[in-house]
Amino acid sequence: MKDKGTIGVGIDVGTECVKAVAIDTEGKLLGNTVVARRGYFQDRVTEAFNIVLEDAKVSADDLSGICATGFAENCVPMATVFRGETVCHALGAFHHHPHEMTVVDIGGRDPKVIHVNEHGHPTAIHTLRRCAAGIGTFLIFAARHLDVSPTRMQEMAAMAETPADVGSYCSMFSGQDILEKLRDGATREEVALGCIHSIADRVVEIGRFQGTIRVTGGVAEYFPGVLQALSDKIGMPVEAVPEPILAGALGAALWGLRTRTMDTCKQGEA
Amino acid sequence: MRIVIVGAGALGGLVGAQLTAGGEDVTLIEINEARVKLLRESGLFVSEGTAGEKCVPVKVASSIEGLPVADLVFVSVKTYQTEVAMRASLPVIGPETFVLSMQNGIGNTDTMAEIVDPSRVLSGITYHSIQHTGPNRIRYRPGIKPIQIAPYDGVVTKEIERVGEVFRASGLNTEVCDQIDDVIWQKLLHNGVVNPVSALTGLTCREMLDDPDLQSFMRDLCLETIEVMKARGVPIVNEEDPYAPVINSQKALGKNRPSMWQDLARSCRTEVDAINGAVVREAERLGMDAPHNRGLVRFIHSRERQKFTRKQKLADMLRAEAGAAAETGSSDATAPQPVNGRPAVRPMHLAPGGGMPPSRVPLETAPKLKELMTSYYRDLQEASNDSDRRIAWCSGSGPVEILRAMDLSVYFPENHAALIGASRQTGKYIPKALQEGFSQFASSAMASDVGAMLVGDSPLVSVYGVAGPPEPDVLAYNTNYGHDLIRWFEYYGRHFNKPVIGLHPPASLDEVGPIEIASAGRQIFRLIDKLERATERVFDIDRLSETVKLTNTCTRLWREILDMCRTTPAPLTFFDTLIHIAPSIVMRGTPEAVEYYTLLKAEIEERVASNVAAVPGERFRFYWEGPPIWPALRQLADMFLNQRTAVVASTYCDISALDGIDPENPIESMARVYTGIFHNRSDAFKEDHLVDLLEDFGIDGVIYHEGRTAPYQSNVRYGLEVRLRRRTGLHALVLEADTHDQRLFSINQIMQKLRDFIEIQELASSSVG
Repeated sequence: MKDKGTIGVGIDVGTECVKAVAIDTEGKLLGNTVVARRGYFQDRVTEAFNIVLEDAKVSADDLSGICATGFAENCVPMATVFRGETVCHALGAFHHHPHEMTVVDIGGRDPKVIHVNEHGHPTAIHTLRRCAAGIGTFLIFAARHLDVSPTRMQEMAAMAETPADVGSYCSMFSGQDILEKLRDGATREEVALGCIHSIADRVVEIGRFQGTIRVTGGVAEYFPGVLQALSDKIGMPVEAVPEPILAGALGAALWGLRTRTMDTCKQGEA
Repeated sequence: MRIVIVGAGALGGLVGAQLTAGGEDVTLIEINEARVKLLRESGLFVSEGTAGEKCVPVKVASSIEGLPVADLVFVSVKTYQTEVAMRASLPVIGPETFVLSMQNGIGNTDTMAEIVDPSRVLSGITYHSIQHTGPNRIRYRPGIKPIQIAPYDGVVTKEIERVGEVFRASGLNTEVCDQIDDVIWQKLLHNGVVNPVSALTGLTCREMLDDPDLQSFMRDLCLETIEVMKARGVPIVNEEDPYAPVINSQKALGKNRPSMWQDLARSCRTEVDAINGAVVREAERLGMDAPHNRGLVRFIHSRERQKFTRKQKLADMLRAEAGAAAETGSSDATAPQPVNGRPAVRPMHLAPGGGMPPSRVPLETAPKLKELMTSYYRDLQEASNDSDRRIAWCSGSGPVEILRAMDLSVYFPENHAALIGASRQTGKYIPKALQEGFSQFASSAMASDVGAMLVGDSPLVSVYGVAGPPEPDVLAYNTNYGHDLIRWFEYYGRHFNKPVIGLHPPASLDEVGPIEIASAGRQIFRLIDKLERATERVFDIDRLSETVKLTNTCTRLWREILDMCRTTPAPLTFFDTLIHIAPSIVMRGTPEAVEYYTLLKAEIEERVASNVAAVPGERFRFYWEGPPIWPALRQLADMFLNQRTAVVASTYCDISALDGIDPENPIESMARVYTGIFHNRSDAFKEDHLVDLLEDFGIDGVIYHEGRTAPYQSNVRYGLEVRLRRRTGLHALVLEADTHDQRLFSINQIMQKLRDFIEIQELASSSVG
């Protein structure tokens, strides 16, 4: 790779999808892609990387830095730098909304409430439990019970008036709740809405919302009902950033650019 | 202006950073190579009060060699190094070069004027309060008065005014005067009264203020110095009550201890000669006497000597022993033997990634630990084969002193469980305990220990070459580290059909009062009575006094070792102390434990004195609240090391720092100490204690571990994190994990969270926007 490249690429390898974003030094989005994991991480990373270069109409020689983040960041052999997902989501959200705010990241894994300062830096991070309740992976698993494609579940939920009561403590308990509600006569639509509410309940438990709230992550992309439910439950406006699923990759791309110019990202080497 | 700063300590660093940021050509000279490297790599971070930090890319060199002649040489070494530093700096001192000292005390500029042209010597004074908050971080509070600079010979020239201008242009509020002799004496008055008294008593300024005897001595001392100052013609700030301003400066310092205490704590030389020594010399010159000051100089010199010679002697001893050990070779563990009438216990092997973390900067004392623990477990095995000896199982937080005083051999299930946890084999044992009827939410320390026994495995076989845990004749527990221990001991009591006796010191107290101590004391008497009957041994109060005396020394040494982690960089981390705490639990009350901690302390003192960091390039200092995550210790230690983050203190390792156990009054003091330990106290007490501790250790962030099956040890479960964050504003992270049960958490998720947390610290402390 040439030193003179001016394009930053961010690759966010989540539990469900690989996201990649290319930006220029002005922060302009040149290309992006979302590739479902489908069983194997590294192949999807290569696939996403190639697609994003093609989409941005650039070659690897044009790149200044490639930053990897997310659950399987170690599956990104072309990465020049690594950053944790908290920082990347904060930077990604800040790119769209350059103010102090609370970022709520709801992806395939545990949801996070991140406080971001006026420089776009996270100042505190809050999470709850390892359990799978309240995460995107749970919704995919719930969709199977409802015999619907996960991407259509939101549509289905929109048809319901009231949500069926699905717990948010443990995904196995919630799975049981789904089946019990169906057995006791709830409609699939009501249960789908219930599942979406269960995600919001888990986020409400974390709490610590202050100021403007911006949501990032795949759940906000595919299940916008979670935002409405969250907003109703906490009584504060809740908005997603544009293309929330890409926020982590966007933050990573920004970091990729930053490392070239500022050299502030030395990983602690033993 | 071309400026060379000799000594990149707190003052040199601050002035160097400010002048560099102001655009001057500054080179800092620092003899500590590690510091040179760190400052070159990372720059120097400077913050004023609580305002944001700025990173200044300072120029640092380890010697003066090759530097051109400077316009100004700023000397900021310790007063006793002035002469050496000046001579070493001669190559950059030309006929036009000014040399400036803002050091403590009197006599620095006299030394300088003997070496260079006196008309080029400048003396200065600053009222800034500057602290090292990290190896490359300085926090300062600007002084109430500006920096003052004056020529040694009293003649202010244009060029000297120019020095003042350069300082002002760099944001250092500075005045040039024709003499500052008076203000230097006025400042010395404060240092001369507060510094040596704190250094000798070990008290903070606030504690000294509360001590009427010390206050009356300090007043006399102050008045003595005032007489010398008056005779010299120095104006007195408060003629009516000259001691009043000194009281105010003690109030302002509060919980801090002055630099002279810090020097002694690090076994370094102090600046007493330039402070109180200067008063004595001036008094002599004026035909007066300053007996208080003279006495203090002698006391401090004596302390310096004790510190040096003891350190030297122990270092020689350690080296000699290390040599001898290398010659004889290490003794191999013998194969396990079946114990009479019992099937042999199988060894337990480490799962990948398990075991205790090695320290990356190894301690010379570490091999001794293994030896000591091996001899402890071998002795237990002998006891279990000897029908005349009796074995007691005991909890880690006591009452080991009583048991030892009754000549019982003491075994600790919690230590055994910790070894099992670190081996990462609990997945094999906990299900066995579940089959025995324990819940998966019952203490996993207990469940792994019980499960291992049911399976017939023990880490003692492979680690110490013994046949496994010895069978008890009696079991004695103490609830001050958590009530879940009762069930653990009761289970074994039933299993072995042996009596179980407990101490239940009153819990959750803000203050430990006489009623509670009396109650805990009576419980100890009852325990003794029951033990006498169960073991047919006679209790002897003199034996207890002896044991308690040894415990007192052992736990005091342990406390002093933990306290040395206040220094930056920390000489030890949580992960080191987790390993080295073992003798203070299983062997306290024996001379062997005292000997071990004496050696360890000497080695750590060496480390502190020579600035050896447990985490090289230490960037952040964390506190660990809650119990250890035994199965993840190695990964955690490695991760923190790689992230150049030191976990410098923990609640857990405080367990055997039993302050105040007293051989003169063994039972009452045991009652008080057992009741008063941190783990047994109220939330309000814990909160206040931690607020102080976080400040004392210079903590940047707090990690709370909520152990899912360790409710008593996980204070975060009841909101401590939120309350402390409100009070201290410190960054904090809650880890939900467990002490032993790996099924209850994900190590990878913990690593990810910690990394995110450290990245937040990085961003917060870098000024890159």
